[in-house]
Amino acid sequence: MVAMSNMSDNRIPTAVDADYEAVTACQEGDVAAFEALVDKYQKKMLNIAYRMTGDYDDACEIVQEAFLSAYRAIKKFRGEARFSTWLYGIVVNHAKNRLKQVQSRSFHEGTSLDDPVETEEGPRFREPLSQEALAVDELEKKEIREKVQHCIESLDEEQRAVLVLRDIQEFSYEEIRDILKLPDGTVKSRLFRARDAMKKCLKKALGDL
Amino acid sequence: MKACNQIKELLSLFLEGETSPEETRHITEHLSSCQECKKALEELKKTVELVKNLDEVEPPPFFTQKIMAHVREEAALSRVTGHGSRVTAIISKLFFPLHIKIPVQAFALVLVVGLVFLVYRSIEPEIKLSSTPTETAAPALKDEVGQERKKAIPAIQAAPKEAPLKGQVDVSEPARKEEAAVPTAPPREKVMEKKSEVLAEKPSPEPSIAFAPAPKESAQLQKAPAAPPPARGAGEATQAIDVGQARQATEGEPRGVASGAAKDRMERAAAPPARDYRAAAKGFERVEFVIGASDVGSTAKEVESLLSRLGAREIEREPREPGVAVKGVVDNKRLVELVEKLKSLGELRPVPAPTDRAQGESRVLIRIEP
Repeated sequence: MVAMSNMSDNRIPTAVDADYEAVTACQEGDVAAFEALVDKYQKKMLNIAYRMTGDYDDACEIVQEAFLSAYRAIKKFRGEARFSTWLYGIVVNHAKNRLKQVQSRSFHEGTSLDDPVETEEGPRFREPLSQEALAVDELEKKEIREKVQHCIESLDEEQRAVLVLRDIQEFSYEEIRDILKLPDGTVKSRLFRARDAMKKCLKKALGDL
Repeated sequence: MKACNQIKELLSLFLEGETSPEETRHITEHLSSCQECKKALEELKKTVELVKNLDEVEPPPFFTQKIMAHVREEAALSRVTGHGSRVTAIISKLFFPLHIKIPVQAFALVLVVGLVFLVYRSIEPEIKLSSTPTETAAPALKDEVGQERKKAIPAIQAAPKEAPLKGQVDVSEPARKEEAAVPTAPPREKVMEKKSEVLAEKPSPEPSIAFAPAPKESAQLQKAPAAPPPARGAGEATQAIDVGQARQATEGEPRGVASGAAKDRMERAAAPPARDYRAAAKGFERVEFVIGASDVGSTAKEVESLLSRLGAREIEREPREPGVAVKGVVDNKRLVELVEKLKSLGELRPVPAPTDRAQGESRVLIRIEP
């Protein structure tokens, strides 16, 4: 990154980005500095990836790929946005790409056990096994969470990304705009559609809200 | 209904307080009167709540280490790649700016060649002085025949007269070896100069073959020690002469001259060359005649008296297979007269053209052969 005086107007002032020093060190080849950034952001990255894909192992792979991509590209990072925003953008893109691959694979190979079963009523979900040992309360919560996750997965990638970033990760509209590189209006309208679709899905999945 | 759809679209933002005050007021008014929209808002709230209630997942153990393992692998790879690109950069620096490199390299080459030439020029006089006697031993190029012969004559004349001078011999010896090793050493421009002069004097020169057999003789000369002890030198010279005679026997008539010349060279190789290059330095021209005569001895005497009548200096007679040779230093002005007189003594071959050189002297070698 460059000094503040050299920054263009749309750049985040270096003082705002808490990662400025670490990023600068990384750009100078300091791998340990990058490790600190990985440690700091891995959990959030993983949760974004997991909520977008619904698969923990896939999410881990996506996060690894995203950090690797970030390391390769970190010298090109010029501080137009916060480093964290840049990093989340990378993981969202990797997750989207993974979803496209999975969709393409499932289109050619047929459905998997995890896929929602399309019925006349809309998507519904396979009953999870071995629930007997769990308490009813926990069982219900777990079931609900799974259904919510399945509903998220029923959204298209764009709606999914906005919903995950806003309602799960609770980023501001401004941050989402920067992460997804979308105009404000698009973010808001996508979020509305995503929530609406989720509502319909959850109503079907849970019976009533 | 239309109003409800508009309201429902805004509910998402309304929920988060992102609507404008006017929109907020409008929605609030509508919600108080529209149960459907109110229900929609509740469902939306519940949906968002459900989504937000999703648990966070924890990264697997050593997730950072796993990621960093990949990153470090990448870093190592990029270092290797970086190193490779540095090598490429060096190579490209060496070869790619050809518009700079080629002129620089060409200039360097010219500089080196010039330097070598200068060094050669600076040591050239030494080579020339010390190697003059053996120059004829170098492989004779056809266009250097005249020059070869010019150098041969004073050497012949000087050799027997001069006592071996150790110092000079010592100086000449290594130089001669150098000469033998680098047979093309004599400066070409001087060769060409003298060649043209000789050709003017002798329009019908001997067949070039006469001086051609250089390589073997050159090798022989390399072996023959020019330095004392004289006895050994003489022995070597005799050996050399034997080689010359053997050649003459096998190669026939045109080789007669050659064998004589070869012998001369052998003698010079055996003898100290001091006088030779002094004579050469004085600019003597060397002229050689062969006279066919039935009575070699009497013809030789006549030639001697003729030379003395013409005011020649350093008249000498020596046996020269297959006859004798008389040599002397003659004023160039008397050369025409000498040729005319020699014609009357016997069959003169080759018949030299009258020289137009008015000044200086020539070393003349007249070989009388049966």
